[in-house]
Amino acid sequence: MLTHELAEVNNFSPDNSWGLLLRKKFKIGAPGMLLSKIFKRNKRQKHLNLTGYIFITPWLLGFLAFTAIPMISSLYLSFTRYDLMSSPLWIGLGNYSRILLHDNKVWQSIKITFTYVLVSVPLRLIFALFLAVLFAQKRMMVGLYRSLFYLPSLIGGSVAVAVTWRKLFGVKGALNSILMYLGIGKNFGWVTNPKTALWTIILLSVWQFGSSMLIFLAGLKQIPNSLYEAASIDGANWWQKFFRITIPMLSPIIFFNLLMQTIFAFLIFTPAFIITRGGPIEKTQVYGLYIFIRAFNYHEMGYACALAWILLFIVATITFILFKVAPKWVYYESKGAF
Amino acid sequence: MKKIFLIVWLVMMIILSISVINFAEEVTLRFAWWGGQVRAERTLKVIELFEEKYPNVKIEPEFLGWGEYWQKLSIQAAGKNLPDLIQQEVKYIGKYEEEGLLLNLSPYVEDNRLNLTDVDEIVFTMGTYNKKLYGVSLGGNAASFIYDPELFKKAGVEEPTPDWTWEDFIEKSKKIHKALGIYAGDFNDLMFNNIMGFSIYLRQHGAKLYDDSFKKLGYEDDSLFVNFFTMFVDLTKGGVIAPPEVSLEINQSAFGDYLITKKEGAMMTLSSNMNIALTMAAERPLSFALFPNTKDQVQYGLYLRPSMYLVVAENCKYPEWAVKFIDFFTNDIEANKILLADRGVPISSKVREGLIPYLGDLEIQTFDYLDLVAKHSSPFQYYFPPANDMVLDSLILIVGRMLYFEITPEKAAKEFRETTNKLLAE
Repeated sequence: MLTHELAEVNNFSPDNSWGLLLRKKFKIGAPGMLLSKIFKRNKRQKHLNLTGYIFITPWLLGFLAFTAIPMISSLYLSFTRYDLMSSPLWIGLGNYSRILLHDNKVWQSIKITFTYVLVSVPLRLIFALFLAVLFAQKRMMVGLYRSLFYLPSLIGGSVAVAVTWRKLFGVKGALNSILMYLGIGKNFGWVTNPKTALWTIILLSVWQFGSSMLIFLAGLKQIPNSLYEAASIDGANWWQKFFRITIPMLSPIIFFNLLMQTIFAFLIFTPAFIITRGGPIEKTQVYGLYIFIRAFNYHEMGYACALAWILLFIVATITFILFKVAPKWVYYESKGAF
Repeated sequence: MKKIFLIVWLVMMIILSISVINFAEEVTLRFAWWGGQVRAERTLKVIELFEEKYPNVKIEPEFLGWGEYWQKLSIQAAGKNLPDLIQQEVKYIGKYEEEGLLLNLSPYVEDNRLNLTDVDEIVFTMGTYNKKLYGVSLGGNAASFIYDPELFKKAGVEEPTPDWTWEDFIEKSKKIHKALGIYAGDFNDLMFNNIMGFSIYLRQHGAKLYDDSFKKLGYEDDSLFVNFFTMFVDLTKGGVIAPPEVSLEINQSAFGDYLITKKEGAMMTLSSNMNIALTMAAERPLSFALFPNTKDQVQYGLYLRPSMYLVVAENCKYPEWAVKFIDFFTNDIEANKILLADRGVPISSKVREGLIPYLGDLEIQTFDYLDLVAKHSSPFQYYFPPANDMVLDSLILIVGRMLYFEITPEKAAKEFRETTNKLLAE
């Protein structure tokens, strides 16, 4: 999770204009454009391409070894029964039909994962935007605060934080101590109570708002000051400026953040695995954890691979819907992408 | 002249023996086990001892906690990269054997390269599969109740006797909770993650968890389930045993985290070989008790069982040396003086006897307990269906829902029967 988030930040350096960058990205992604480029290239371009390929070779090897080949083999395994010890046995769509028709736990884990995504992603984005707006102003030591608030995202995905979280919200944890001091609350196991367990994980996720915050911050700086000045002259107050200028101008970035965070939120695993271990009574058995349990506790690797491909399908569908809905609320200064 | 001959002969012998040592093959073996700190320290010392004795052999240890151990092992099995020496659960031996992952040890036993002459017949029949020996038991073992005699005394409660009943257990639990304000224990600890305690209770009623066919449950009457778990639901309701909120926070692989070590609980259940590690963590004497009995029970619920096995992987390059190591582990008194029954009471009667002068109070306590169990147990075929792990998890879930008062024991009994029969039929 952490590396993904860092990659987000690195790939999209704040110097670029966000809207422009996104459009460029989508254009390149269009297959037609790509084909025409391939046929048009001349010798010099070929030479340049070779240099390029040499440069990306280390990445390409890594991609093949750790992404492409595992993905293809997992697709194959999803049509087999494979217990890690004997060789895989082809059973066609057997795993998929078992998952979709006979496995109640899949539906339960999908429900839990959706709850997690639907609550944690908006909360995280709102929080990130709120802080980004605060930090966009020129104040004393704002750089220091920015770094401090980014800190949780650097360490948030780690096992150590998950363990700390467990202690923080334990029966004898810090939260209960504070509540007791204030005279409210009793010994309550936030992590081990079926009603609150998922919320502790959501809270951990919201706490890691840093990368979204940085992206928002970069976006805010791109909004021309002249717009605000004009609005001020017209007598608009802060709220009007925020909702009429900031939000629309920032919408491509909000969309980008929403997309990335939603995709990564579906892949949640570490917090559920370490803080709650899927419990209490499987109330936090998110989809990723369920795949893991099937694969490594019950040794049903084929079944787990099928589960993983269903997750890919779900995430792809959600992404598709987000893209379809985007033109209704995302504003691009210059038309072209959609 | 004779002297010179003698000297020359001696020199030649020395040179020869040195060269033999130098030419002995360099052997590296990987040895994997699960377990805690105490076991790791002792095992590493025994490995050192073995390496001193055979300087050409190097043993690389790989040790993990219980859960991670099996995850790693299955991946290693998939990658055909199993460690040479594997500490193995008896219930998985059949599966590993069927996949051809284990080395048949029978030939080594026949020509005595693996000496099992001092071992009881029953212990090694359990490591056999299709009449071939695949594993050597690392010790005898039994489920046990452990309690703190000091806390019992403080609460004015009599210590359990070998013939105590479930009613006694409830009464004592309530008294301790009332007198000291602590928990009698927590459910996970008291019932071995549910399944062990329940299966012992079933055996006392002449039933068992699985039918011999492994295709359905081995008891017909759901009231057995209801009666057993109602006891614990009621105790949880009364606050006598710790609620699941508390027990789920306990790190099961750290003895220091248990209620009994922190003096927040008075009783728990444990495999008898783990008593030593628990007492060391608690830093005060704890006592053994047998499991509570059912009034007019059909048979004793407890049974003796091998704690774990040492097996050799089929892909081992130096099976001779791996077998030699097992032989060393089983028969060497010096090694067992270090191990001190951490993996269970040694299976070789010679080692057992030879060890007695070196035992501390803790080890004697464990040996005595196993003698007691031997008199209060009935034989049990320690084999499990392939779906056992899933059944265990579904029972944990169902019991959890009962203890959070989401469902009644009656409904739970029905649900457990349905899910288990479905899992077993697959």
